[in-house]
Amino acid sequence: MLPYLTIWQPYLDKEKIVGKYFLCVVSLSLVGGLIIALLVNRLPMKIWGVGSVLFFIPCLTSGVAVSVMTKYLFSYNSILNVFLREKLDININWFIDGKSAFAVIIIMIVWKLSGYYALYLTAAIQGISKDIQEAATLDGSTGAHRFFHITLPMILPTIATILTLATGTSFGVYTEPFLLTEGGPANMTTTWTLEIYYRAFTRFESGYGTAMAILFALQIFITVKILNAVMDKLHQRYGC
Amino acid sequence: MKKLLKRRPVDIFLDLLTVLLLTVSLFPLYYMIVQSVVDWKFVDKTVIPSHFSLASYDYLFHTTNANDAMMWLRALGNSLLVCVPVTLVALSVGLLAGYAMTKLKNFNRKQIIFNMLLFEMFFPVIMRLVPKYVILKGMANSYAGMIVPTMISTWAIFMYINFFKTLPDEIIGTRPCYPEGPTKLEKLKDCAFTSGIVFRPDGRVDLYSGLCDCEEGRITIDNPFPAHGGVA
Repeated sequence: MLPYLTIWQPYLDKEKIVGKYFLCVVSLSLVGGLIIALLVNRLPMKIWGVGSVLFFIPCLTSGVAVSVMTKYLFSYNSILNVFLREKLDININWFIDGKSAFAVIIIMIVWKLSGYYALYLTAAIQGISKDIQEAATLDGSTGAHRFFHITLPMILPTIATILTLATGTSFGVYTEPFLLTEGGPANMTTTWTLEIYYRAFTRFESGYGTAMAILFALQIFITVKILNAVMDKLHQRYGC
Repeated sequence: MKKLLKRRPVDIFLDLLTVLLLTVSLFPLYYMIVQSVVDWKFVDKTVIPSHFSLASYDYLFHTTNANDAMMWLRALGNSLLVCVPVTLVALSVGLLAGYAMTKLKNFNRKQIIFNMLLFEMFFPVIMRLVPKYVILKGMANSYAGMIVPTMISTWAIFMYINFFKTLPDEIIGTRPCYPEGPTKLEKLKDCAFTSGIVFRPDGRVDLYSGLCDCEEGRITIDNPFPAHGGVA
């Protein structure tokens, strides 16, 4: 039982950071995906396909390559920082300050996921029967009203799927903090997976690592189940 | 052009937003391409290049360093060798499992299996490395070791389950419900359902009625809509 008990000490601190990752990644990537999907959807038929593929490109690029590039882009002598320092007199040490390091990681992940989720959402929006859209238009439903009363309820199942995937991804963030900050500064960007890796493979505390991995999977599982239950309720109430 | 001028301010704003988001999502790609065609002195120091150089590509194709020479070709080949069988197996297993999990009626304990899949999907990959290696030690140092362990994708099964969930379950009738005969009438090749009305030049109409597309019957009657203009 020892491995399970010793977890509780630093548990809450870690949980706060993981919760921040979860909230930021899930909400921002879902909203980003929805915005992209709606924008792509109003493109003319001819360039519609090209549009959704172009937004999907960030997801195809490898996380490692993007992380390395971001590291260059935000390093002290990079073009971005030189520009900020010399032209605007702003000096930010991106990876020394915990908040900015966290923001950079979140932006990277959201940038990558939004186009990916937009692909699902675009397909779902396209799948809404034209009859329903036409009927809504005839009844005088436009813009925001149509979005909230027709589009959103119709794509609820897809949103539920995306929530599940995004939850898994947000808890399991690994590549970006590992390559950019190694969990620092002062553990402000650490994640469960990163912690498990350090414990099990650099400090060779395998028991601790495994115990954490099981709790970690259990936590995601419970979160996903709660989210799914909420989505089911919403679907019963508003969905069709 | 006229169409462009007629656009409302909202449309213009949304167009600009699309372009902006597209720029943001494609910028790293642009950056990568630019860095690959500038001289090595300027790599990561310029965004809009003034001098182009193919030194990087030249190195890839013509390096004399024996260790690096065309190694990327071998790597690309290996990727393909792993990718093709893994994709094929993951797709077919995902398809079958997804169908079974959502559509099979006499498949008990579906929920438990689904929960186990979900749990497995979220279990951190790095923690599975050691047990996986111990189990698959026999395949070490071979292509099989790269292909076999990754063949079954929980993620693919999950996606298929969610896809099948959106397909409606209702089936009106299966083959045994219909009268004996061919599954699809030869002359109804392009039809899914056979019922309708055909106006004839002589003022009467053929009324078709059918059982899906495997049985069809026809009666000829007087135009039932004389008040509505007859032949359309």
